[in-house]
Amino acid sequence: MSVQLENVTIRYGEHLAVDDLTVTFHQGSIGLLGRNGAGKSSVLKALLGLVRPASGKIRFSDLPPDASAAAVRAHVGYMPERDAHLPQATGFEMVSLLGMLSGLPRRDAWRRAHEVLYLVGLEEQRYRPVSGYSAGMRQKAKLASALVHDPSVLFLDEPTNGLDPGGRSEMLELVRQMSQELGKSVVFSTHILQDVEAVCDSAVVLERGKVVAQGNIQELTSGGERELRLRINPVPGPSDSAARVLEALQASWRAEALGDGRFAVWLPEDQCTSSVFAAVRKTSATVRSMQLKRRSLEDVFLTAVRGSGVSS
Amino acid sequence: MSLAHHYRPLECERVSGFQRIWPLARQEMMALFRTKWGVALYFVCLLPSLGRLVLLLIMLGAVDLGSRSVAGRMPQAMDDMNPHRAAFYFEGSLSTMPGMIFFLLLTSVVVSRCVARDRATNALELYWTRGISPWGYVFGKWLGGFLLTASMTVGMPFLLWITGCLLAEDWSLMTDTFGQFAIGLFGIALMTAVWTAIGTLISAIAPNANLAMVAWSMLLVGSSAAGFVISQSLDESSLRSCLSFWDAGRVVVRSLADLPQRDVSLPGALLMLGSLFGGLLLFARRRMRVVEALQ
Repeated sequence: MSVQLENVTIRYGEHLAVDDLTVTFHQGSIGLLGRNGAGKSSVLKALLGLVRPASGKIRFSDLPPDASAAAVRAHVGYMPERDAHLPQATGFEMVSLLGMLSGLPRRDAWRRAHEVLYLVGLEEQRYRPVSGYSAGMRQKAKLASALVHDPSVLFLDEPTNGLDPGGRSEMLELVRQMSQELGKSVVFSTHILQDVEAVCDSAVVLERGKVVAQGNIQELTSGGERELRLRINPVPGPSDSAARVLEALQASWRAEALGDGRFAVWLPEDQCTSSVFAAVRKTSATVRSMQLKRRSLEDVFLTAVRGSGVSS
Repeated sequence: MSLAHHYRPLECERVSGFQRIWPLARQEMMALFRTKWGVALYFVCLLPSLGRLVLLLIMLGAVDLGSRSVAGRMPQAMDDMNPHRAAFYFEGSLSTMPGMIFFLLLTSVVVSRCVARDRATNALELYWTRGISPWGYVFGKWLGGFLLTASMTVGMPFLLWITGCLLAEDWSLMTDTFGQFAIGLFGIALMTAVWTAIGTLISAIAPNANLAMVAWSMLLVGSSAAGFVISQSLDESSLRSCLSFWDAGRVVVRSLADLPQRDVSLPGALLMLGSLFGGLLLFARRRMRVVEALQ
């Protein structure tokens, strides 16, 4: 199932949380990125029908356009960011009750609660009160609650919050399997970019309620300028060869000296590295080593946020 | 472990409406019995009814202390103690002492904490992102609290009356008291519903469970005490039912059951209950907005 937002604006009183947002969440796993207050949670709440957009439309591909919030929630699983549990309830009671509130008959909710608790790895702790669970177990219990009614779309709000490295990698593996093996659409909201790189196919970057970058993660990280790291052999003689090399590089590209004969050059996507060799050779210096630095999602994010013109 | 091997798609018809709310009500109703202290508290709250049961057994001669003849000769003013009168069965639930005290004991633990406790653990976010609305949730919580409280305020008088009918020499106790008892029982159920609704709304407004408990206790006991003191000092007995919502409920039930009462104001009692409920409902509407739970 894909979800489409068209010109969605969300306001909380005077505060503009999301501004004329148009984006489509296709099937697969999508990272919803943004700094704190960028509008990620507001988007998720609007998708769940919890917050009514001031303007714009939200469409779920498998549902009629006028589907009620309750109908939407039957197809959507939500894992909240904050620690949340039912007082006194055990893991099994919490998941089965939430299943019944989603419309499952009691027997099905019970069966299903056992199944999803097993899937997330809580089968041995299911009869213990959730209040006594560790942070990782509580996150898993929330994930099981989001899965209990077999939704086709999962909205996960900061699912790796407060987890230790082991718990984090377990959670990411679960998310990856849900999207790749179970065929669920997963919208993964976070500000931890490595998590998105690890499990998502594509990403949407929000800043102040606007989309500032979106697309397939591979395309995002391979597009734009590439960073080259050069090291040159200095030319013996009275003149400063490093300054001459920098001058030659800066004549064609964005470049900076890193000291000790090392330089960083940002090469446009359509230019090849041989032109850099040629430019260095003209100064009589020789290239000792060259390294092409891969763009990370963090670079994409920072570039998008800085270049958006909406950042503070 | 691969999820694909263990995950089974769900194939069942979804239920709707009340069938979604009932599990919530049942969970709320049974929450008290999860701990031994809760079970003990519930049985402590049944003590006044057990006292009445002992009185009933004595008065109807099941325990022979020579009191059978006394019941037949009791003056009308002592109807509350006469098992041949419908008032005998209600009074345990309606009296300020001990009825209100045990009602307070039970409801302060169950009803007044129900929503505030969920708010403290962010459970509202889990509930409201399901297929029920915030007011459906409040209704489920109220229903659970009401059914538990009604098992004490309505269930016990009913059991007492059944016991009385079975212990009496003939069916005259049943035929004589049936009409008044049925209306009175309906009145108590109605008032229990209103009282627990007020408690639930206070819970919905309060920022945390302890404050909700304190506010509920103060409102119940405080309004009763204030009503008593003010009505005494102004020598205006009818003021009591206009100031205390417990006394107001009592007046309504006794009026419905056509039981004798002096210096009371039924319109004042109804106005008191209506305005308190309406006022709390207005406050609760703000607190029950979805964005409140999600911030």
